[in-house]
Amino acid sequence: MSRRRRESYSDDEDDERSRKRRRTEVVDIEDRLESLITRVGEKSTSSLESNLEGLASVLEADLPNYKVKIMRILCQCVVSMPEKLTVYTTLVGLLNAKNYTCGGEFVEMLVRNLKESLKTGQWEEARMMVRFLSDLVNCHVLVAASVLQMFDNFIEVTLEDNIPQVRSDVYVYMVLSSLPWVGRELFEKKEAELNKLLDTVDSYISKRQKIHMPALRVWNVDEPHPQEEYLDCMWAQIRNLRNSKWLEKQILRPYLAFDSVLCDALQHTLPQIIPPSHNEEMVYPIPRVIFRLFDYTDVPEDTVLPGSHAIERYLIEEQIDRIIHTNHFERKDCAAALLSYPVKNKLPLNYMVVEVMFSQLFQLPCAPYLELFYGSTLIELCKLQPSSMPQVLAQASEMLFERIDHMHTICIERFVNWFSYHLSNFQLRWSWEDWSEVTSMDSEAPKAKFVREVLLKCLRLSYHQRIVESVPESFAAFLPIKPAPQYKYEQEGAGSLPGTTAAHALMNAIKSKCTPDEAAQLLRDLPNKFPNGDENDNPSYHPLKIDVFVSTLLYLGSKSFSHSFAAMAKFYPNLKSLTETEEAQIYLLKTIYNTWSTHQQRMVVLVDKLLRTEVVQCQAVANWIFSEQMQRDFTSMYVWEILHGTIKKMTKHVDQLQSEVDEARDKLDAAKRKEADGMEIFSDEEVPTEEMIERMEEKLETATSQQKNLFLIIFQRFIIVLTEHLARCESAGIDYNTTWYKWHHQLVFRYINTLESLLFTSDIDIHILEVFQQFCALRS
Amino acid sequence: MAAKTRPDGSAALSQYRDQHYKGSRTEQERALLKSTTLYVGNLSFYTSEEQIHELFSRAGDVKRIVMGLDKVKKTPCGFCFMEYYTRADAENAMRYINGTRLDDRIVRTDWDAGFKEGRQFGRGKSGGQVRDEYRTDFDEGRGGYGKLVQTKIRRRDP
Repeated sequence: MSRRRRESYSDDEDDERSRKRRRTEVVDIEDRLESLITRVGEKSTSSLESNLEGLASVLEADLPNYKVKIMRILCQCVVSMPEKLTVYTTLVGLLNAKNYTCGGEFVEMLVRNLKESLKTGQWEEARMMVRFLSDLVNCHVLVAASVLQMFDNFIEVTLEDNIPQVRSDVYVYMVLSSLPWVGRELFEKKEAELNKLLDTVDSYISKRQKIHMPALRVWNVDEPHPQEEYLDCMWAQIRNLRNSKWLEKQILRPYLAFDSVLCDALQHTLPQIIPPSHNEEMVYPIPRVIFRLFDYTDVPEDTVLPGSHAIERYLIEEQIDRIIHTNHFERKDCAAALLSYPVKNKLPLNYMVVEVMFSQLFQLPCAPYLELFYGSTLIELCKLQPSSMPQVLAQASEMLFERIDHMHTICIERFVNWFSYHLSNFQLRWSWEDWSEVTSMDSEAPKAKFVREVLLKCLRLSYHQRIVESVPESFAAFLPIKPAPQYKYEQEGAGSLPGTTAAHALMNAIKSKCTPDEAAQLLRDLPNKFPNGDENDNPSYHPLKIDVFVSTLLYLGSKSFSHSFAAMAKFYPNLKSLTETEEAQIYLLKTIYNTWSTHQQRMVVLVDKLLRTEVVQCQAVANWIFSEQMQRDFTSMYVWEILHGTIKKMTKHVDQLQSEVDEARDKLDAAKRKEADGMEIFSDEEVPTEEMIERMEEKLETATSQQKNLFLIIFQRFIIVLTEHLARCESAGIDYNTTWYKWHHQLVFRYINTLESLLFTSDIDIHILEVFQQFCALRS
Repeated sequence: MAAKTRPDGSAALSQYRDQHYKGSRTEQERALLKSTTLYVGNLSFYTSEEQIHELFSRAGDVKRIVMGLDKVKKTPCGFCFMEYYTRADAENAMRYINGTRLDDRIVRTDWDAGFKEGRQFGRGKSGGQVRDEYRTDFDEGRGGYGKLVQTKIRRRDP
């Protein structure tokens, strides 16, 4: 008995083991297949053709057992490795030649994926699948006419009524960006139909609205390079390709080597692919303007940069974009991948890489990735190619500087941030003498302003003496003032100020570690005056108390940020009670400026802290920025840094409250459903009550109205400032388009998107709408 | 999925584990994986909190910087703890700042389980960081020769 049991037990075990073994074998083989397929086309000792041939045979043998798995891997490669697109189309072509059903099933699967992507708005993936299907014509997998039919269906979207232009754009773009692959084949087999399709595209392109253009242009002039909308540029490139009989020199086409095998294969007809109709929720990609920096005269003589309307320029730039996209988390891999991109025909690869990097960094309204990614990756590029990359970057910087008068203000800001960062990584070495023209310029002129702002940013990353030593003496006027706190109660003439005695007493008390209460006692008897002795007849705030307390606190905490923060944290109750009204908060901000106007970074950080600890409100910051005191610094980048940070925090705050409300609602609804179903609710599940949610909603409502108010203030003040400027110019008989105008006008433009989404989603406040329309009218 | 909880590449945990951590290895790793704090090393003694703030704020919103101090002299001794508000921002600092320069020195960043009072002080015998005890090179930004070598040189002097 016992023996039998043991036997049966061991039988079970054996069975279990062999099942496990079989399962691991399956997993092993699947892993091996995946690795074989994903790695084909990488650098190898044998030729691509022989690798493809070998892989096709392996896969053919595995098809009976692993068909679905193989196809899934291939479909994944279509979207995740578009740089190897033609390698995979060739592979599919070879498989189709060996096994017709398999080819058909692959096409079916890919079409299913494409339809899903179109439905869910995965436009980049859809575009890659469309291009892949197009290239399958070249591999004798698909009939040319059926791909043309798909194109026709896509182009028909341009004839739909009441759709946003971005919708038709994306479909046209999918077709155009596939034509470099399949254009020649369609031209040879279906010329008349292809021409008809292109005519429709032509008439669509000529009718498109382009009011978005000015907002997206990095350069506001078309010299030396025209600023083209992406679809216009693509269309010009396609027309050129058409003129050269659809022959291009960039795409690797491994299937040409297999022509004798492939031409015998049977072809499939693509099923109908109809674009899913438009709905309100669908989000389409926003248009771009193509950024150009270099042309053929800028690159070394032994290299040839394809012209801006050459299809090769597009094809290479798209690949560079893809490499960045794939590697943007790993700056070192990214730099290595960019420089190992295989180029033919003596292309100046490093110039093209630099141009694409800057085109992304300057992309409006936002760069695709963190600005720091571009800076750190450019450093890696310099490290990998120390003999040429630093020169190319220096040349690019020179050119950007030369053209800075026509650069979008937001891009100048990014240029300043990148350039200062780059210099600080290369011992602050730069041939400043080349830019000495700025020393005789108006201080608001873009070039002069750029130099000043760069030095300010370098100062933040370094220290004053170092900056002084790294620029020529002629640049003295551009050097930042050495940051130091201003404390009036220890300066000459302090004796006659009404706050001096209290300030000194407070300083001693704080030094001997007094409590917040004791500090408050020392201020109690100060009269409601301004620090200079003038009476204050506004009882809503107490300028002298604020000034004495805040300037003393900041002065004592001047050693570092941490010292300032520690002082503010300890005397938080005092700060709060002194700044209950908006006037008081604005006065607090003024006091900070009086103390730290030479230390911009400190101002930025202190205001950030005061906002986060809710000592000051966003609106107070906005009103202060537009106040008379700040007029002097109004075109300084740090002022915009503060305003931008304020808006960002307000928006984040609203978003967070919104998600809290949503989450609580969901929890309550789920609990209600459970109850209705007669299920038990466990006491450890925290279910919010209706009252709790109401309170949260009230908080959200307050925050939303604060947010609206903030924008209202900013735009109203803007209108006032700009109108005053226009009036001043008119009466003086000068062109309003001064540098001053440039700094203001464009900076606020970045908020247009936020503003629009804020205003046109819920109940529109008529005042805000008015202001917004006024603002837009200013630009038209 | 695995990539989410255990990031690969430059935002991944390094091999280093703080030997003074109060808790098990598993707890330590769990803390490191969700931490928003970085250890920043190889700074010059002269690099200020402000410079560090400027560089690291380019990766995201900085919550707090705790400067590392010599436990005897209470002066900066070449490291700090950098706390961000979010994990994503801290990861960006790991990706894009680690190995780049600040004050002409290559900055090293690593995950830290979170600042605890007392950790701001150097753990070397003479008050600074341990690495500055045994260094044999001359590093101007970090007080010249290592502490041990310095004592030897002094002894040889008449």
